[in-house]
Amino acid sequence: MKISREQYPEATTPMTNPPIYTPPNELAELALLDAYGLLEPAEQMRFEQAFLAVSPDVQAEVRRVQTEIAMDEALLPNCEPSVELKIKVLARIRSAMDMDTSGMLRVDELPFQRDTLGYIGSKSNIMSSVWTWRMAALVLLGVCLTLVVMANTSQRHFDRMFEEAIRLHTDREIESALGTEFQPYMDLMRRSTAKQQYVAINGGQGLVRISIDEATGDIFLLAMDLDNQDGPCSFTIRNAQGDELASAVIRTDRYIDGVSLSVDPTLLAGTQFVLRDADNRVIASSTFV
Amino acid sequence: MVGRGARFQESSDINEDLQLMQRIASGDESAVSELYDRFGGLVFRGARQLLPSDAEAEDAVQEVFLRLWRTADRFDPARAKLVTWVMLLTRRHVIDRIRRAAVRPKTIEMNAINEGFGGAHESKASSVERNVQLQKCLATLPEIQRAVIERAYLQGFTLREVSIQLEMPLGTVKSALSRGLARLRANASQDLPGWAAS
Repeated sequence: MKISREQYPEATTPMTNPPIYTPPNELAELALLDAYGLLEPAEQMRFEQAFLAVSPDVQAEVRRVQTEIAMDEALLPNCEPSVELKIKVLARIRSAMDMDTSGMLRVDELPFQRDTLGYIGSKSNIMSSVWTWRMAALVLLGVCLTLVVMANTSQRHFDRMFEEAIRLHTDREIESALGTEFQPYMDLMRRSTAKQQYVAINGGQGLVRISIDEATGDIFLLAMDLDNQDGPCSFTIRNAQGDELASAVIRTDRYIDGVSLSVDPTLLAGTQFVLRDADNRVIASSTFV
Repeated sequence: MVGRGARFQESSDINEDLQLMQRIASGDESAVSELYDRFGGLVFRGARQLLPSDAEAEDAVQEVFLRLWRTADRFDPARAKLVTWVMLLTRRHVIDRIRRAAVRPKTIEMNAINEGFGGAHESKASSVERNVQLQKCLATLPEIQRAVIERAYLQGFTLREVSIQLEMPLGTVKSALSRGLARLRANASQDLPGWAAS
């Protein structure tokens, strides 16, 4: 195919946009590749635009070359289709026609498809299309953000549920191990106003863990490892002036014991905790901080 | 220059083509039958050239004619003759089919031809003959042209893919392909005159 520069004038057909100049050799190349069905959609469009932009003579030359290629059977195999093929082709088209007449629309006839094609086809609507895509991207971004927030909230909710489940499980474990006797301790520990303090015997021979609710004055004593003592121990709570606020006897015939007490929460500051053995000797003490 | 008689003949053909496609677009079944009579064989051979079996090619022919019927109202005789339009749709469909179904034929090696290459529905002899002829023509081409034709035309790779595979600029691939195809056509009609179908 020979297309000279002289045969390639400016566009002769009225167009809304100036035609894209395609060098003649490239036009010839595109025409040949197009005839063999090898152009990708963007290239096909470029070729169509270039074709419309050239003079009728060049268009006729392009048509001639493409027709030649279409009719050229030199490279095609020497074979014939079966006789039944025509029947199959006609039946297939008849069936498609029936579907159409029975009201089933073809994909390319669906209203949204037609609108979309019209949209793409019209240059003036390309910008609208761009804005549509931008809006779609924004909506998508919004959806993504909402999903992230929802996922985060769900995660926190799940964490809380998980902690609660663990706590319930631990409570049940403790309850099954120690009975319901220590339930007040568990209840107290769940309060946000609860504090922990220890009164430990020197040499690690035992300790009393004191859980105090500063708001209500509820106290629970959890005595552990006092079973090496000769007899029950006494636990006293005194205020800063030395007045006794509360006291309790702690059993030492088992490795763990628990006692509930209650004091006036306003008197807690500077309170002294004293643990005495069966012989009334002070074996441990601590000041409430 | 084209003579006045030839021009008259051409415009008469164009009118016939246009009328035929208009009849098809309006749902005239006899027009579809006429279209098949004119191009059925050509479309089949075009499909069979690249597809591995007669069954595949026949299926492709049905799809092509269905597409021709669906797009009949878009046929523009000013843009191309009907035969060009038909073969363009055929080639595009066949290449799409190769890409979609990943039924790319392997690159044909000369020594593989003797072992037979083709679908189950085609006799080995005719399949081998078809590929021997094609391969003979391909063998006459420079290596780059042969490589791009095999990949883009016979195996259905896109030009971009071929460009990546061969590590060549896209423009070079296109040029090599168009030059190669033009040369292949020329060689086929000169060297193998008896082979071409009537």
